[in-house]
Amino acid sequence: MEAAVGDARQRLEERSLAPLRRTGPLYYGLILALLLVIAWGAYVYFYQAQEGLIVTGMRDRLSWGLYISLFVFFIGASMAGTFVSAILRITQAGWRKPVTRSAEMVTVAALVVAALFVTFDIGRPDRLLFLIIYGRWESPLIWDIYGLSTYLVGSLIYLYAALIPDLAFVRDRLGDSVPALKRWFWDAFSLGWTGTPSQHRYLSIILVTMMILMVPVAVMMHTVTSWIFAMTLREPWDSPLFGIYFVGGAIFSGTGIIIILMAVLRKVQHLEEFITEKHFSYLGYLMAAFALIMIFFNANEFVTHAYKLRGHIALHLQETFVGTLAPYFWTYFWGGLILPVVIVALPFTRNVAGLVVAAVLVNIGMFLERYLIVVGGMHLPLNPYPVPTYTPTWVEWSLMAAGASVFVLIIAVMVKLVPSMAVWEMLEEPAGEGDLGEAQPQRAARTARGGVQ
Amino acid sequence: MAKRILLTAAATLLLALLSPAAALAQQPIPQLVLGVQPSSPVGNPMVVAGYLLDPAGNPISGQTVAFSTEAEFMNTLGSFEIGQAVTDDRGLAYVQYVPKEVGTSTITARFAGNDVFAPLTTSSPLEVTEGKATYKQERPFRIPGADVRLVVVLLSGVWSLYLLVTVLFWLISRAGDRPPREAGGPQ
Repeated sequence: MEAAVGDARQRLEERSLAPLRRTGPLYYGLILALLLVIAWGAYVYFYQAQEGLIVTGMRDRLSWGLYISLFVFFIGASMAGTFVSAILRITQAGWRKPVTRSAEMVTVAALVVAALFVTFDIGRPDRLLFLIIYGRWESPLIWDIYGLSTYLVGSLIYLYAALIPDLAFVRDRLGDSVPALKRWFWDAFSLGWTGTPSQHRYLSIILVTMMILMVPVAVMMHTVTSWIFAMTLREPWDSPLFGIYFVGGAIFSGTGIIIILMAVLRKVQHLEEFITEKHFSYLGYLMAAFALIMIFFNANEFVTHAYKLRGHIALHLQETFVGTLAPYFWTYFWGGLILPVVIVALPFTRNVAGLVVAAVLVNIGMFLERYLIVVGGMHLPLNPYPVPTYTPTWVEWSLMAAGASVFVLIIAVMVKLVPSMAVWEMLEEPAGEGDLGEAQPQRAARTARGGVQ
Repeated sequence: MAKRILLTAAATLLLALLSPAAALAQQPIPQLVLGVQPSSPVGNPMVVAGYLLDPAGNPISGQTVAFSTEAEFMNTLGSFEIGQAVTDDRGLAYVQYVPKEVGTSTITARFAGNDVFAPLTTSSPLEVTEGKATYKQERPFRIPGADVRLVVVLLSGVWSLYLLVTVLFWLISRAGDRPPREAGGPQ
C-alpha cells in the first residue's frame, strides 16, 4: 500500500509539474490566436471610443445591451469560483482538492473581464474616473464599484494564499531547469516558504479568515449587482427576489464554467487519475440543484408578475413568452435549465462528456437569461413610444470575442505558472480520503516534497 | 534671448488661461423669472414655469431650462431634477411637479448658458401644505444608522481583515528556514 501511495504521489508531482516544464506548439498557437482576437478587440475599442457608442446597437431608449449582459454573466462566473471553493473548504469536503484551484482561477479571470465590459459600456474611458470623482454613494452603481473592487482584491488574496505552498513546491522541484523569469516568479511569490510550523500556522489563519470572509463578500457582490437593476424604476426588475436570484444564478453558471475548465485541464494535462468522474458528478449534482432553484425563482417571479399584471408587465410577459424575446427565453428554459437536469439525472449521461455538454448548455442558457434580464427590462418603453428594438452590432460582437479571449488568456497564462490543482492539499490529505490511496502519514508528504509540510 | 522666449511663453499661457473667463465675463446675463406658486397641497400636481428673457426683457426661445428641487435619501441631501423644458416664443418653459413631502422646499431653475448668454440659476421657495393626498411622506424619513457610515464601517471591516492578512503574508516570509543564499535556486 505504501508503495502504491508513493507511486501515486510521484505521478501527481510529475503530472502537475509537466505543464510548467514543457510547452507545446499547440499552446503557443492558442496564445497567438487569443492575442490576435484581443488585438482586433483593441482596434474595435479605439474605433468605438473615437466614434462613440452610436456604433453599437444601443440607443437612448435601450441603453444597456450586450456589454452589460456580459458584465452580469462574468460577474456570475466569478461567484462560483471563490464561493464554491470557500464553501468546500469550510465544509472540509475531501473531494474539493482537485477542484478549488480551477474555481479560484475562474473567479480572478472572470472579475477582470467583467470590469472590462463595464469599461466598454461606459464609452469614453475617461468617464471611468468620473465614477470615482463624482460618484454618489447613494447609487447602486457606486456600491457595485465598492463591491467589485473588494471582491477582486479578496479573491486575489484567497487565490494567492492557497498558492504559496505550491509555488514553493514548484520552485524546489523545477529550480534551474526553467527560464530565469519563471524562477524569479516562483522564488519571489513563494515568500520563502519551507513549510515550518509557524508558516503553516500563519497560512492556516489566512485561509480560515479568507474562506469565511469571502462567502459574505461574494454574496454581497452579487446582491449589489442585482440592485443595479432592482433599484431602477422599471417594472420587470421590480422584484425583491433579485438579490438571491442573482446569487443562485451565479453559482449555477459558475459551476458550469468550473466543470468545463476542469474537463479541459484534465484532458490537456492528463490529470484523469486525479480529477475523476466523481468530481464531475459532485459538481454536476450542485449544478442540477441550482437549476431546480432557478426554475423555482423563475416560476415565482413570473406567477406573481402575471397575477398582478401591473403597468406594462402584460407587454413584458407577452414579449418574453411569445414575442421577440421568446426564442431566447425558451432556449434558456429548455436548454439551460431542463436539459442539464435531465443529463445529470440519467445515469448513462452522467459522465464527463455528458456533464461538459450540460455545463455548456447551462452557460449558453445563463448568458441568454442575463440578456433577457438586461434587454428585456429595457424593452418596455417608459413613455408612449413603440417597443424599442436592439440588435448588437459587429462592434459589440467583436468586443465580446475579445473579452472572452482575455478570460481564456488569463487562465492559459496561469496554468503555465502554477499547478492546476492544489497539489499541497492533495499531498496532505489524511488516510482514507481523496484519490492518492488509502493510507499514508503526513510525514511521507513532507519527505516527498522536500520540506513542504 | 532665452529669458525673452520664456516671458513670451508665460504671457501666452496666461492669456490662454484668462481668455475663456474674460469671454464669459463679457456675455450678457439674461433674466430667468421663476413662476412658482408660494404654496401647494401635498400630492397636488402644480406647474413650475420659468421665463427666459434677455437683459432688455425680450423672450429667448429654443433654450433648455432645467428645474430641480432638493431631496433627501438616507440622510443625504441632494438635488433632484423635476424635469427640463425648452422655452417657446414667449421665452416660457414649464414642467409639471407633484410635491410629495410636507414642508418648505426650494424650486430651482437653471439655464446652462449658450454662445450668447451667460448661465443663470434662480430659486424660489415652495411651502408644501397638508392636503388630501392618499400618500404622505413625513420628513425626515430615517432608518437609524442606515447611512454612509454603515457602508464605511462594513467596507473598513473587510479591508482591515485584508490588511491583517497582508501582515500574515509578511510573517510567512519571515518564518521560513531557507538559507538566504539559496534563494532563487533549487534546494
